[in-house]
Amino acid sequence: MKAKILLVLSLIGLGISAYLVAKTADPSSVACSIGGGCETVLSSSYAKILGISVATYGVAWYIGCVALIYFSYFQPKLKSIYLTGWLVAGMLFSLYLLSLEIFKIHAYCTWCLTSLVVVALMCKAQWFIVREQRGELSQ
Amino acid sequence: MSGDAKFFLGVVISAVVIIGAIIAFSTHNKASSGTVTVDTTLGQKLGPDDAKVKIVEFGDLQCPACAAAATEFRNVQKNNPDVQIIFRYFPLIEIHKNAQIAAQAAEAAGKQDKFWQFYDVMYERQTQWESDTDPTGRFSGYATELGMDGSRFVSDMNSDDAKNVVKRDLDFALASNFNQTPTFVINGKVVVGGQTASDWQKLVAEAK
Repeated sequence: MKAKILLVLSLIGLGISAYLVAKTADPSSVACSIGGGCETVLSSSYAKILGISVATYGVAWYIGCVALIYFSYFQPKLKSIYLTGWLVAGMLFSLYLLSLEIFKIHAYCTWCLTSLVVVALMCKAQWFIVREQRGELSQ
Repeated sequence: MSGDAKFFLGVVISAVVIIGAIIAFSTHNKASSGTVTVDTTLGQKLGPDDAKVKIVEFGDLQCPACAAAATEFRNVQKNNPDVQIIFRYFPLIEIHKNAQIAAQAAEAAGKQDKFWQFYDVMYERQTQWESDTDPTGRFSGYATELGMDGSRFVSDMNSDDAKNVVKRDLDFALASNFNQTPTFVINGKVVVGGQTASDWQKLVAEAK
């Protein structure tokens, strides 16, 4: 059940990232807003890394999540430690992006924050799964 | 196929369809919001005063989206010499700490008939000055590089005249309920955000 929740969460995150990729690709939807907002964050100099939008990395990361969830729980061929590592890396990167919004851009993008919550929930779900596997939680 | 595998496949296919629909819907709803009357005798102009099509940009020199939109905006006038483009100041001082002084600097450049050259330099080099604690020296350097009188430039930049012009434009933008930069007004029609070359050609053709 928790693996199914992980899958659904990763697809929600994938949807958010794909939407942000489409939004940044359309110049008419990119603008700076009074009081900040998604447009300000997406048009900031921090919205791209090595010329590729952060949202594109997000899409790739969530696709990686879907693949790792599949091969960890639906067609088990991999140890769940790989998925755990992938999720922790994603969480750390999401926190780095949050720190940029707070300290550098001074604007907040609701979609980016929603993605952060999704990643946090995925980490939580994975934490429960790992504890169940170790027998630390009653089945 | 096992129950879990069917579930996996079903959820993935549903998600792809939903994501595709959201993206298709969002990219077909371009930002455009009504009409407004703008006094086109004000602002920094390029192109004939008797132009049938006048495009006013309400822009923030520290806004990355404005920098990204600048080239195509300048190209509209290059490709359509009968069109007049006008720049009005809309510094988003809440989120861009050097937007106000940058607007005053641009106004000072305009006093020496170098506004559009300065506009280009400011957007091209935005990442150099956006974080400066005091960008005066850097702006003065740009002005000198463009052949302006540096000391006059600094004096004009800090003048009440420049501050008043920026305030006049900012007040107008806020009173018009603009809340994003760049906001363009094409013969009264408001269009928000950068436009592609083909978007501009379409907008100009519609306005003619």
